[in-house]
Amino acid sequence: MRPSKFTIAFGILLAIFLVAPTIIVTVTSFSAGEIIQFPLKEASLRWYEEILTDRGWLQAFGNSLLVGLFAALLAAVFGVSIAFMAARGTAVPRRLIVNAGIGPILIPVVVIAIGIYMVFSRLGLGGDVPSLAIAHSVIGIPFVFINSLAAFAALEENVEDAALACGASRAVTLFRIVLPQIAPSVLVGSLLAFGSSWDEVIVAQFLNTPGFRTIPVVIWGQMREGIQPSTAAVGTLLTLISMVVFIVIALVNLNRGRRRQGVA
Amino acid sequence: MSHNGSTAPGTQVDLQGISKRYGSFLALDDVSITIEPGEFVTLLGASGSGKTTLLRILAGFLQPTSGLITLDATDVTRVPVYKRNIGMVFQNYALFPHMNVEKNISFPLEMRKVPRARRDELITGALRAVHMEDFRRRLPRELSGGQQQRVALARAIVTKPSILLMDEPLGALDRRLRESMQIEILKLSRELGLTVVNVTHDQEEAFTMSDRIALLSHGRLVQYSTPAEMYEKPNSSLVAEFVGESNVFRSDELVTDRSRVEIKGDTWHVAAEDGLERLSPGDRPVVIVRPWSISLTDAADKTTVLAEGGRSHLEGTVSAVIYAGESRKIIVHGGGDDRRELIVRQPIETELNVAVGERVLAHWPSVKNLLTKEHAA
Repeated sequence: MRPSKFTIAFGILLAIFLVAPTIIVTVTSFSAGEIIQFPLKEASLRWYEEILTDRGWLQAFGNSLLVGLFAALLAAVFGVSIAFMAARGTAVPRRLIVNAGIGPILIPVVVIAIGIYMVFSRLGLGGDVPSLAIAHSVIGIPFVFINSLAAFAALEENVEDAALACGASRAVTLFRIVLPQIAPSVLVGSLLAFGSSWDEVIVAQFLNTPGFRTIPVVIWGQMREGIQPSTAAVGTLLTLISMVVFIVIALVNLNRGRRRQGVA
Repeated sequence: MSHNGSTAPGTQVDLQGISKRYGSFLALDDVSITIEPGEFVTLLGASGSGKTTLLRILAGFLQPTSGLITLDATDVTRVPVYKRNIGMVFQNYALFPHMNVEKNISFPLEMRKVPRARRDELITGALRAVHMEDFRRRLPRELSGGQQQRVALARAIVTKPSILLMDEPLGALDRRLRESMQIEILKLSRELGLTVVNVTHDQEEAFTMSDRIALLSHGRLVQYSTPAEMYEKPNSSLVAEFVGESNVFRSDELVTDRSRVEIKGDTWHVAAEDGLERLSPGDRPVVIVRPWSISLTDAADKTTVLAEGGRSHLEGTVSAVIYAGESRKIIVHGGGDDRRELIVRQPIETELNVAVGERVLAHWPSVKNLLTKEHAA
């Protein structure tokens, strides 16, 4: 069935509504003037030049990247471990583990932020890459957990038993047989965890210090002084990196889909 | 025995009093089986009979609640699966999907610490044994079901295990492929001198492949014998009814007279004496006759046919003639209060001498009757 004209029109309107803010920010980032203007009067790359030579922005950019990578790595380790417990463990009831694994999605971020802030200030943590990465890994865990749990469930029956019969211990079976099979799902989950850290502002706000800020925190700070074209340029770069992450996810999924078809 | 003489001879397997309890459910009840080196044994039974549980206990995936497992007189009851030196084949092939054929077969060699230099030769040998030499670089998903099972078989035998375990290995294949694989697996296991334990619910497969069959029902070992003995000397009605098509005649009376069993109905009469020694006083006798043993003649000839004596018979009407491939199945309805029916089989090449609705006498020599006892549930 072909969609009706109304459906098409509605679809286009919806797309404009969703994409327009990004387009406006992107366009204004190429402004040559001192203030945000739309549409552009004159185009230039001066704001990109400014942010890419500004130490503050570059440092924030580096912080965001490092925090995102470490958070994704930690989320991968914790997420897979919890999923493994839920899929194979017998000691703790499965429902309990599943709730723990997806919990951070259900709990308001601000609550997580306050909780982490209280614990971290007791422990003297905060204001550096490792502590924010640990905090962000909490938010990233559900992405890895959900993806890997689904991958565990999709594993073919008896393959692990076959490995044991071949003489592989349980640990070797886990690392040589199970993990390679669920690796694509863990990668997708980790990329989503990176994405969730990359634009996270609430927890980052709680744990920031004048010497340690991530990009979203810096943008947030600038908003109080009034938005500048440089902020738009930073926002555009943020969007670009997020898009790269999601393109990688799409490619991994495409590859997985092909493999599944091969099985059938 | 192997042609090059390099393989270890098969292992003797001894299962003693194996029980497995899940809460109040007894999945296996005191099962004891001894398997001689190089023997091909099939665990046969319906689903829920405990045959797979027994295989998984023998493999080491499960611990028995009680009982002892020895391989060549070494107690392995508490030895984990990966230290038992077994080869195993699963119904769903269970190849490692992310490894190609060669890596799949190399994996057990690696795990058993076979030196790298020797691996390639062993892999090639195993692939040749299952006629898959040309598929080394393929991934499992690029192979058909039959090819995958060949690779799984190669992976199971490449380390020359002491025992080959197969969990319904041919269950997922179509009939024709299944039959040719049965012969191939049998040949291969004989060549390698492997002790094989196979699980199936397919009695034809069990009869084709096995030196001995262990028939299990509700967690108990019902009979453990050669296929011929199981067919000809079933030790209870359950065995007789499970293996092959049967006409079963049950008696209301218990065995008393130790010379002969006679059971009568309105339209039939069967007698048996062979096998009476397997019955004890108090057993309820059951007489079995295989459909192939029965002849059909015109009901009018009854007196002539039965005159010579020593024959069992049923008089009735032909209610159906069914063509079933190489044989035809004829149902004779005895009528009478017991509504007795008899299944008769004839080779398709013989001329059909009866028609539906015709009155016939079904008769057979009483020595063809199998005498056994009612299975105690």
